[in-house]
Amino acid sequence: MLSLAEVSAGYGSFCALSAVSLDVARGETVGVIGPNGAGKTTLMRVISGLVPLRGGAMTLEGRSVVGLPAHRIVEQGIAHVPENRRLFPRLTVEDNLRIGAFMPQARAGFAERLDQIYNLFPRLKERREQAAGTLSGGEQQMCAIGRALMSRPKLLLLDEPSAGLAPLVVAQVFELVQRIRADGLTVLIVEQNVQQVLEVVDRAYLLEVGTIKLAGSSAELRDNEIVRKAYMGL
Amino acid sequence: MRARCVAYIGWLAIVVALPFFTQPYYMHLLIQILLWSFVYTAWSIMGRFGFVSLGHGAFMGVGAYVPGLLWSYYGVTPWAGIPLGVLVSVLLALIIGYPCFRFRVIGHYFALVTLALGQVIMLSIIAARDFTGGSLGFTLRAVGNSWLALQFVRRPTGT
Amino acid sequence: MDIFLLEAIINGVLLGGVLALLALGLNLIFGVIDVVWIAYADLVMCGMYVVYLLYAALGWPLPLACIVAVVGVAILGVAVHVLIIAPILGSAPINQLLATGGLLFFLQSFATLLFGTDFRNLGLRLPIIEVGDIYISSARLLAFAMALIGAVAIYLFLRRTFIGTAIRAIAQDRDIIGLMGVDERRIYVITSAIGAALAGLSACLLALQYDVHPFIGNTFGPLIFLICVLGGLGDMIGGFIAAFIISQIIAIGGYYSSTELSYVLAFAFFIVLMFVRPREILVR
Repeated sequence: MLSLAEVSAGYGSFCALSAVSLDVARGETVGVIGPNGAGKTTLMRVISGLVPLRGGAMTLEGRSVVGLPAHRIVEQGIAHVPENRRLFPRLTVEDNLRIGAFMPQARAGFAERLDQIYNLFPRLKERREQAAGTLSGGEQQMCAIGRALMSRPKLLLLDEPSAGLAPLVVAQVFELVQRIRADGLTVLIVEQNVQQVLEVVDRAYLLEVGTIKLAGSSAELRDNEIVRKAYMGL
Repeated sequence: MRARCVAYIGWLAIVVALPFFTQPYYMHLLIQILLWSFVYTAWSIMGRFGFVSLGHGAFMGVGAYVPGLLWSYYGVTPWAGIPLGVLVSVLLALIIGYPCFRFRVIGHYFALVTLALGQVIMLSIIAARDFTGGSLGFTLRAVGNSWLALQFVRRPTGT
Repeated sequence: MDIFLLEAIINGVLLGGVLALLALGLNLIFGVIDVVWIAYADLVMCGMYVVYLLYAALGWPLPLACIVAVVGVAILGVAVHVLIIAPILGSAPINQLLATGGLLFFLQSFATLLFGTDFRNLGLRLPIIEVGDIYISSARLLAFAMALIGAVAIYLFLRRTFIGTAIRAIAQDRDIIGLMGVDERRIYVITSAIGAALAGLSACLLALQYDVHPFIGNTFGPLIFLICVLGGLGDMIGGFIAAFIISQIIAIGGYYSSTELSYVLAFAFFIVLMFVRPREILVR
């Protein structure tokens, strides 16, 4: 469904990604692992349109999405849950979810979608009038994911969903990802927590210093020597 | 270095000679240009450090009213009045500037504090209308030709 | 309590209404787009001239003239944003200050060219209402009521609609707003239109009470900026409250001494407050 071919991008004179190629097929859950500064967040931002491509091609369902601004990419069906959640702190939980459905196509079924999201995240429903900045880390992550889901995306981008969360909460988050996956949504996850993410994804890529070093099924990567030594401490 | 000195002297000579040739209106314009360049330089000194002063008129006002009022009411010669006006302006700047420094008032906030200062000075001058003439302005006490009062009635040269 | 003092307090509240509306508009624009429209008060001046032109000179019915003024100033606001602000959004704040400052001189000069420097009045003589021993101008009361209605309308718009929510969101996190499917440029234009429309509405309300001349912006412009800063630049509720605080200082100060000194007091109060307020509000 999503296809990147030889994509390069960067900030100023700094090249964050060079010749990155990856694919995500419909219904798959794919992971991108790698150390800090590898370019994982840049990769997400390139796909969601926040950072422009400097080279290469990017297509969604066969159509090129290069050069589209972020709000157009959302309309194409890609929703991005940013690193560190990035909720609107002084808006209520419900307002945050509301803004997720800003797209004209999403506004029509807003009320219905809101109910669905609240069913998925009952805790959010309890706190619907609370300011998003006052939620706990785990609740914020739920809210951020819920916000992204409000636009009924085809592809969900998750940028380091476990960042800054307690282990118990991390488990809950990945449990949630499993559920979303089971509903048939296509997911691309970028993570530092290699152990957890490899249990959730079908395939994964290893991104280091802006290039793809490894690619394979999650089982293959789990058994890979480099991955085990460097990222799983084994 | 040499060339620059020559250029400066050349310019100085032109500026000194101008009043002898120029019609009064253009002379007036030239004087205005020089005056306002001077004021602008003062303003841009602040701009260099990232401070936008929206109330710089306050200092001009103080610098104008102090010698003017001192002369008209107390007969204090402008030769003393002008430096005194400068001193009062500096004091005013310190009164506003030091707290701004102390309490880290910068950026938009600094610009608006200076705006408020400009308003305070202007309105205070207007409010003291019995003394300053208020919105109608203030005319200096005229004594004809006098170097002491820096007043010149008859133009010694020019057309 | 002295009846005249009470009258002054009430007039202060009524004055505060329109000031609050103006502060709302300015805060909206600053909070969302992060620019200070130095020429904001002169947009009001333009609106007042439109009302004067249509009602007093051409004889249109007053409500129609006001509606045209509001719409006209809103369009002017969009033009300001698209032509002047948008091109320099990324550059240093000083550029924005200077650009809108230039607009200020342009508008004032243009108005002088068109209308001269005479004071123009709508020629309206709305009745004075007598409540007990207190005299209240009905023009002022009407202005206050309309200002409140305008403020409530804006509040509901921001709270309940999608675009209103987007406007509030952009002010809190500009970077990722695109991820919500929000075209931030469109939101900027809409915000400019609303902020300018508020100026237009204020223009109608002020035209009921005061004469218009090209430099009227200079009389309340600095005051509005100060009110906004006092309430916290971009903080709409803060600005709203600050408007009433300042108007009270002016009204009560004016009661005890001259009008100019009451303004001096208000400005001096502002300066002192800038020095004294807690750090987290000052350093934005």
